[in-house]
Amino acid sequence: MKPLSTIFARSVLVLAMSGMAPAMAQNAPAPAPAPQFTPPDSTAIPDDEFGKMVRKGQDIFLKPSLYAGKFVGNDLSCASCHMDAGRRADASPLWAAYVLYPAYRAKNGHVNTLAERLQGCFQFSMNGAKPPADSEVIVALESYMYWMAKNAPTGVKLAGQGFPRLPKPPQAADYVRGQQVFQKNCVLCHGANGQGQSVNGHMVFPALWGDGSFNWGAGMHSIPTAAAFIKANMPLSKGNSLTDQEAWDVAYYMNAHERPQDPRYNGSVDETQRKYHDAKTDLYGQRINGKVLGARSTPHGGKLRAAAQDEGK
Amino acid sequence: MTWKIHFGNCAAGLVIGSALAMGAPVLAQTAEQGGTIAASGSGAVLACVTCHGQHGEGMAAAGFPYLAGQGSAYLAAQLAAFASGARNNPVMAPIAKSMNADQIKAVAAYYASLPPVFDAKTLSGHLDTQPPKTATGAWLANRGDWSRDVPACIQCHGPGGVGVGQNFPAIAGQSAAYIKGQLLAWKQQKRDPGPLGLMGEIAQRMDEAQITAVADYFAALPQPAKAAATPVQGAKR
Repeated sequence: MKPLSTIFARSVLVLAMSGMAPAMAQNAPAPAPAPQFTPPDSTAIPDDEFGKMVRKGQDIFLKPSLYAGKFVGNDLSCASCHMDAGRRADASPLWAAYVLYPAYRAKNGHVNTLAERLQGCFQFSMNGAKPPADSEVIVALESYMYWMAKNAPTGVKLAGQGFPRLPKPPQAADYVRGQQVFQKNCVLCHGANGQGQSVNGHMVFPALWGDGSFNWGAGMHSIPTAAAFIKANMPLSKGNSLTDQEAWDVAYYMNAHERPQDPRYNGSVDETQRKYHDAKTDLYGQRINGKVLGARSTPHGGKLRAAAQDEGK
Repeated sequence: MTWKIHFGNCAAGLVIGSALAMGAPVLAQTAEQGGTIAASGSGAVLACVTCHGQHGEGMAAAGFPYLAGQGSAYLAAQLAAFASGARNNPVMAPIAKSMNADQIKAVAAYYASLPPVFDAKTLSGHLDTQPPKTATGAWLANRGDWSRDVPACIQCHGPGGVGVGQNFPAIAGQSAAYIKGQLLAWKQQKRDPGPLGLMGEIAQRMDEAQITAVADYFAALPQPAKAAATPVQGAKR
């Protein structure tokens, strides 16, 4: 039981703050609402040489292991997270990303071209290798994005960009609660061990952790990013059905498991943690259930690594 | 899928008499009992083959679905739903009601052990990322209609609609009448919405023209898929 005085003091504070809000809004200019944008209809890809490259980009996007296998180390698809072939608002749509590059990224501390950003997807999310910036894979994906962003304003955050960030949860994200959310809502498709499901070698439900999933360098390993994605998009077709708390808890649970090593790993989990994972919302290098995450990771590269080893024999 | 593959291996292992894990002979025995019920019935339980065919291939003309190769958990859940009325079906209700839990388990194991009616390997390689503009069924199946929060059917039922694991049944090659009937039943809330309520809610967001188109698409899919060229291997190693 909290002392009454504390409760009273908090209530006063809340009242004071809520009273302040309109005054502040009057002083500061209200931020302009993010512009709305609708991409061209998916049937409207032109039937010409440019359209062929757009189609190629779309094919890669939907089945990267088949159409860009040289650079892909797992069985995930770009569309595993970017719903509706990269068209869906609040699922990091391609049309919204296209108009924000080149951009400075804190992740690597310099201005990234769109090509470099796409290379990052292959290296981290696909646990693979960077396609050369002038390769057909990158040209095709850029063409697909450019086509989808037709008539969008450049250099502004469009409504639906990225994954909508969630407010901090009422309670700190929790492994045990997350496990319960997982068992109730996720196991049906992703399996009891988050391993996903395939049929005859074709991935249907992506692996959420383990060797078949994205590596420790991917954006989705960050709990706020995963929570935002899950809240808006999971379970598939039932977006926004979980509470914010459930989304945070299950994101924590997912990312409290081992996954392929960060490609930037230099041999020391401690150093890699300090350099690239120094956030409370990032469990790399932290001890969970008695094990330090990242300490037992399989080296990055997945299937590519296995293939390279076979060639070396 | 893994479950089915394991099961197949176990059944084969029993035939050649190799040493097996403890549970395997029991499972094979269960399927064998199921096979007897399927072929000859049991008391008030009508023989399944009467409507679902000698090899669980169904009877498309009458709208009786195939059962061969479906997940045993899915099949058992359907029998339970017929018995409880959660899935409304006047033909299946009395049959399911007269089955006990062991019989349900046995029959489900039996049908799960049968090979599917389509060439699963070829069909699961089916990939149509950009169907023709007016092919509503193909669009829904392969890309979905996200303006209605309807994912592509293949996102849960697998590429080519071959079914995935224990809970997502195969739909490729089921009769159009059967698929349409089920989607309409969900839309009208006459069939239990299924795990997480996924299918019931999705069907409610589809209109009747979409339901008809996607039913026709999957009913006809196994044939064109056999003829379709395998996608180019791209830049694969």
